[in-house]
Amino acid sequence: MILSIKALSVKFKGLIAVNNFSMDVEKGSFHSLIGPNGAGKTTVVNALTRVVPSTGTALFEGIDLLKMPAHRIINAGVARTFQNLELFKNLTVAGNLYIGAHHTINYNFFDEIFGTKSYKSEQSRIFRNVTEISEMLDIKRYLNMSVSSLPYGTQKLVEIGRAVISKPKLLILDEPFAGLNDQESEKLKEEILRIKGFYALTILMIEHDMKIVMSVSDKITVMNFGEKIAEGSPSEIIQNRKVAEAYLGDRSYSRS
Amino acid sequence: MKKYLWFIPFVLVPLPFLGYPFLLSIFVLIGIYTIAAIGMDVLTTWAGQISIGNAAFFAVGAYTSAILVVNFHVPFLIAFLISGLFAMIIGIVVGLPALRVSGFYLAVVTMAFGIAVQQIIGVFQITGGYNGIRNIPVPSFWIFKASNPVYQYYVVLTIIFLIFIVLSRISFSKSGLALFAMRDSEIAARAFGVNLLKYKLAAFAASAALTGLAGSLYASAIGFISPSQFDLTLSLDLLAMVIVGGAGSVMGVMIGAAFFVGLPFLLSGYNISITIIQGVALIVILLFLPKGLLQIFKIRDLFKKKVI
Repeated sequence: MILSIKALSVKFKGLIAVNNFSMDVEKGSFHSLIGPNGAGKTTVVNALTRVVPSTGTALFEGIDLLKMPAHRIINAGVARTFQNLELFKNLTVAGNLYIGAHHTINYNFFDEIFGTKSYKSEQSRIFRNVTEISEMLDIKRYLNMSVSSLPYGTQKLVEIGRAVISKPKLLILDEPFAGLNDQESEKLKEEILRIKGFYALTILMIEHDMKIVMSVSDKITVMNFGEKIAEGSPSEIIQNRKVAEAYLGDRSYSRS
Repeated sequence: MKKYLWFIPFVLVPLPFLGYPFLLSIFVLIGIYTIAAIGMDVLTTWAGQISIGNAAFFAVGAYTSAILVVNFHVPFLIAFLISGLFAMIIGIVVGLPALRVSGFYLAVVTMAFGIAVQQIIGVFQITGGYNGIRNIPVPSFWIFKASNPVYQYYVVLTIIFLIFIVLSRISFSKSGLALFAMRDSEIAARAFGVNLLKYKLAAFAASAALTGLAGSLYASAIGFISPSQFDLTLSLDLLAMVIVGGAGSVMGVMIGAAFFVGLPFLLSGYNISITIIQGVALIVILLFLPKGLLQIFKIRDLFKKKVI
């Protein structure tokens, strides 16, 4: 178990967005979190990465993420992407990837100004990492281009690259396939699986595209109205009655 | 070495005007405002924090330096450094609200701070009240008397050059990119380990320190300071210098400062209202050169430079 969420609740001014939610993520697994719009999936991720305040515990390799400040989460080994891209839009692709490695940089302000030995070796190490990741994601030719000038699909790759360069143990992807056509989706799926294998990552993915979810997931957790309604392997989830109801509506039109 | 070449014209600028000390003193003034405007640039363009109270840091620097030199006979160099340090401390205090508010709210908070400082200075005896401080001595540096504006010019240019070196060194490394990440997306910057508290306060500290140092130079170059010189207009001018010249570039800020400080002197001999000229020029520049006058030279800002 790499991540163990227990009794997670998030309230927004009286509205209960996530209610007593518990979930375990196995090390090395591809775990998907699905559910209808507004089910609270992104809120769970936002709570884990301390974007929104929450109650409960989320033990990541024995450390409670919910007790850490937001900027320390990456040090624990949890990196994420965002549903609506949160790239640094005035920077180049290289600049964006560089920030991914921010927390690993081991020099101080005076090293920067005086260009000391540790500054130079760290800079070349990060530039090497940036080049390596960009080659792997096939975006090397865009490195010195402004990130906002790139097509949407490429921007998604940059965001994934920025998360991967931080050397995470757990990578959280928030709807990586939204807005992509079939061809782009297929390519992105391959990239994600390749990265997962190469860096031995654990992946937690929020996604709506059922075809992709079913084909990549080891385990699926289904949410509705802020609560977990089902969990299991893809074949178990397909047959689950509650899941079908959540997506297609209850036949009796009454919610229990 | 190549990235320093653009400095050469600025080194040569005073040579044809050696016989015109008045013109040289305008160049000095442009240089001093450049330093203050770089302080504004670091805060707005780099860190994405808005301030329209930077005139207060300018005033703090000017008054600290003037009081130390006039009342306590402290050597200028020491007064200069203390004024930067003092402005920096105040900058950190002003930066605290930025941790809670942003955008227009931060603009209003900093504006209130700017006005408050101006009023406070007017009240105290040691600052000379609303009459200000007169006869601030011209600084004497180690080997030469700096009363000659040519020396002043090169001292100011050297300071700008040092600032440029530091800024270009950090522009594609940990602290510079962290500031820029914070500007573009606080949520993503934080997710990748950028400590917003640290970098916001650092941005305010650096901005205030640079503006304070400029204030110190200003006080000794002009020789007379009073609260009315450090009003809201000065803060807005500093902001406009950054935008007109070219945000995110030391050279752009220099051009912006020359536009705002030099142009009034250039036109003072004619019977035209400078406000109208400046206003029209401002609108034309913003319409056709949204990235500032620097756009003419097609210079990339520090963050878009090629590194790999």
